[in-house]
Amino acid sequence: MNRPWDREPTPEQLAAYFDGELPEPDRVALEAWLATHPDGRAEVEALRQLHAQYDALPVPEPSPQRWDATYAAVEARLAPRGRNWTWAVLVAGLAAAVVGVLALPRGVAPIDVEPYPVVSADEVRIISMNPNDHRALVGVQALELNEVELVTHPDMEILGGATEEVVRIDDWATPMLVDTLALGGPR
Amino acid sequence: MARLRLLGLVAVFFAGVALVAADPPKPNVKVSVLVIIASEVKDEVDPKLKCIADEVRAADPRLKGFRVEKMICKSLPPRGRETFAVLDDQKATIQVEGPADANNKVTLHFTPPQLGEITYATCCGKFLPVITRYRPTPDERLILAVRAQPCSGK
Repeated sequence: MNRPWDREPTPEQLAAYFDGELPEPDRVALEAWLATHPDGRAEVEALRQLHAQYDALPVPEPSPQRWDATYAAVEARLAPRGRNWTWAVLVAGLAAAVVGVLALPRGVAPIDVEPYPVVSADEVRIISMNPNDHRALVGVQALELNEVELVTHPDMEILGGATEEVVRIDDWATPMLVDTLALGGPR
Repeated sequence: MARLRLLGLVAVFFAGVALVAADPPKPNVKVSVLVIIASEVKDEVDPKLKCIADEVRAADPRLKGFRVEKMICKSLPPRGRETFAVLDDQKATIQVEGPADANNKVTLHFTPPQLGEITYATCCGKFLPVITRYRPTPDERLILAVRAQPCSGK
């Protein structure tokens, strides 16, 4: 059973009733109260007329000139943002290019890279090698066939017997062919 | 019993003298093999290979680009011999005669792939490049550079 409306409604309660926002028990109780209170019904009627007059008011349509002026004002405010965006893109592109150049793995030698040192010709002495490989050596004097010379007798002596080819050479910085036949050794 | 103890003391004495008089053990030699790929097509040069590239191009102008494939380092005792797997199935062997001498020279026996043994005395701390006959691709050449360390007095 609904509770009866036992007091005079406030203007906010009447407005809520007119807008259909009162809960169902309150709406039923207020309608029962309005049925016995002509002053309350008059206030509700005044609200209805106010809304009717408001809805009847004409809404002026903006003129084309007003639309153009509005668009122009909007574009004028957006234009600086566009320029800032362009600058941001340019700066980001420049930064990416600098980073890309610095990150190149080859091509430009960083200052702090120290190349591997290479021996010079006077720092290496080739003791023996296959003369056919003389093109393999870089930056040093390789042994070539035209450097091979016959040793002279005073520079060496035979240490071994008739079947051995062991010789001792006093100065063997230069490679030498030993002609054992010329020294009377084995062939 | 006392006689045995005396003999023991004498033995310990001579053993100590022998240890003091013996030469200190010779240090190992650290051998580094730098594996380089030289290209006849690409002209990019690894900045670390600038000196080597200059020397190699003076010997063979067809080689333009140089890049480091890898570096292999091994510590070898005097007369020690080691095999280095340099690239693909290619191997190089190195034998050291001993540590750097008074002239700061180290004697090495180096056998690169597809080449005969090269015996040479070199200053330590610097690389000796050798152009091998091995081609990883038709446009490339395998180059090995060998360095011995440490240098005497350092």
